[in-house]
Amino acid sequence: MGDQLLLLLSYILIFGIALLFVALGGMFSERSGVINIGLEGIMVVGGFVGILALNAMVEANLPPALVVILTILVSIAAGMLYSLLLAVVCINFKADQTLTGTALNLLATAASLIFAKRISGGVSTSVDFMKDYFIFNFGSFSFNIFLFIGLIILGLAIFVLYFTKFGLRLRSCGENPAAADSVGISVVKYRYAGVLISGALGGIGALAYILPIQSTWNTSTGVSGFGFLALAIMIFGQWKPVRIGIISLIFSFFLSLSYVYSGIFNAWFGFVPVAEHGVTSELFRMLPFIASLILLAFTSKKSRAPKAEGIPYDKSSR
Amino acid sequence: MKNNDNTMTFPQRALKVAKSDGAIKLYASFACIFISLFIGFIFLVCLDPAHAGAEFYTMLVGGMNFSRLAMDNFFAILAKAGPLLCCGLAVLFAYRAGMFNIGVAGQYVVGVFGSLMFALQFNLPWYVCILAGMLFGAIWGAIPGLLKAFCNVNETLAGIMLNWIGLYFTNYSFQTYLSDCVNANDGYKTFTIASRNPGAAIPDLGIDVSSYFSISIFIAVIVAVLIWFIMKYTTFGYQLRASGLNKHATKYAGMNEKRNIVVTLAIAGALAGLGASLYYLSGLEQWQAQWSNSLPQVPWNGIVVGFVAQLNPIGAIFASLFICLISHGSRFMMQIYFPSEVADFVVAIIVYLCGLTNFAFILIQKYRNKRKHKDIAAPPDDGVKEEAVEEEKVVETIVEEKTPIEAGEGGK
Repeated sequence: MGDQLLLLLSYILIFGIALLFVALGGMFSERSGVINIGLEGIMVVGGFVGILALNAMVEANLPPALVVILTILVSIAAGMLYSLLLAVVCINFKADQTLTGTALNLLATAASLIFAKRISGGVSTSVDFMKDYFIFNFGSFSFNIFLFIGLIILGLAIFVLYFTKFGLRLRSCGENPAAADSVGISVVKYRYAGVLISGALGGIGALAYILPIQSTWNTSTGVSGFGFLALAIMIFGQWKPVRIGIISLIFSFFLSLSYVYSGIFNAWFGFVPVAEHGVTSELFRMLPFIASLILLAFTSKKSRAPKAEGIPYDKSSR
Repeated sequence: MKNNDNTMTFPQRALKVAKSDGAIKLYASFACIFISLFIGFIFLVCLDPAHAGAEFYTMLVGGMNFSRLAMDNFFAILAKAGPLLCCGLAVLFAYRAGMFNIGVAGQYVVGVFGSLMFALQFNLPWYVCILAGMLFGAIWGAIPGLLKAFCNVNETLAGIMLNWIGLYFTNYSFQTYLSDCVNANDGYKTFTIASRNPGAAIPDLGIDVSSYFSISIFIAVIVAVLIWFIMKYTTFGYQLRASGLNKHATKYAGMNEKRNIVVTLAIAGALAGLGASLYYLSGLEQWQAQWSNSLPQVPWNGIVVGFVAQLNPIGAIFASLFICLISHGSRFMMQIYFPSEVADFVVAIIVYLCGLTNFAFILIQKYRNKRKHKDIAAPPDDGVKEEAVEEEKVVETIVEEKTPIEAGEGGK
């Protein structure tokens, strides 16, 4: 029973931290006024490039610490580069943000599948990797390096958003870009910053999701809706970093249950629930989305959503 | 300046058509497609220069080769184009009313649930199954509509949530109370329609040209024409397009804004459900009820169809045929050199570029107005005034020509 709880706890931490990264990324983007539906695609690209870099570096026998740092940096860079695709057309060319985000998701899935198949000679869509450098075991409980980074990032996000000039200006671009522009703040610059931060956090979030659990990643499932779940967390957290941190753990609890529920039920109630009892993992996975939908329905009238999100800023409409 | 149609000579008339807004949209779509194909080709060359040319050619025309299986290829493309067209209609219909129906994927999945439940569990004939799929799709579309109309929820966010709820709900259903529909010996896919309930398969009217042939493409095309008719010639269609252009004006004009939102999204959902029914009842694939954590590709491509067609239902027919052509052709590429996902890659670039066409459209309008203005310009000594008038004119025309793409603004 204790083992099962420990397993559940480690799952919660793994998923929770990964969700935290991505949801904070989405928050920065939306706070600057750009809806980033493409987070899912950014995660796929960041994770895929990061894993390729990891494999290359492990083969080259680089020291572990260097491998860890470089892999994370490569993922961040890949995520940022990819999010640039969104930034350019949505901020400079005022394209529809939802459409472009969807395009990024489709593009990332297709590209990662093409590369994965080419690497494996057209037979498999999976990529294997070596995750040992990222995991530290304490008995049966395993920590991964992203836990520490995640906590630091959460603190940084709070600090940057609320206690710096940059954060204030970023928020103003999401609430009232015309007013921000009128006092000399470059809306374009801050929106770029918001999208690029979301790309960076999406990239590292992908690593935090892919690396700790298995030692192979199937690109055909991608990150299985993780980017969208992060968007749900961001909504549930009302675009505020602390709340996003808490909600990440709650949502991650349901997600983790979908993986380990049979063991927990077995330990606590002495039976293994199967589909005949009406319990499947889908039930637990559905819950966070239903909760977000209900919350959206009841709070949308007084929602704290950035006022100008999703609306391209047009100087001439001021 | 303007000539009457009767007095125009043929070249003049042709020129007028070629310069019309509709024509510009057509050029924009073709530009998107050609640029995307070019980028896709460059991508293949970067990957493997030796085989890129031949394989790329295979992707483009592979679906139309005249071998022994040529008829099968041709009808497979048609069979896949029908469902895709329906999904495209689901997207563009809502977008014309100013709403981005990203929930099309969820509506599609729930449509699968409805049609397969009625086909495999209740053993009902095909038209009932199609109606069931449409009904469930409509319900799934009406939920974000109701939330938007009465709770002011952004339909994009609600749609995303409902996509995943729909996927998990469908899989949950097929694993538990609908487990009779699932074949445990076949990787937990649903039973084939032919083996369980042949009456639920979309009929081919006795025309036995290919196993892929069915009337699904005709149903889809008829629906496309119907949607075009509704949008163009009915009061509801007019209200719908008007609310896509200016939400506040329609409210001011006394149109029932809330009802229109709900009905529009419900119809869009029904269209997505129809697409799902056509796809799974014509036996193209079986639904995989277990371990599927990703949404199906068809509705996402439906978004592409809607935008490549520049939100025109008739254009969507050709757009869906084109996308099915390259995605079917990509299966004939040598998979050791290039996997079939190259087609998805090209399609993704197409939709990415589609986001840019609206910007290009505004630029063209601006340029034209400048030129038009120069023809009748005041003497150049009054430079400041001229500029002001010009600006005004540009703004005026843009407002006039405002397409729903622009007015939608992310569906807010």
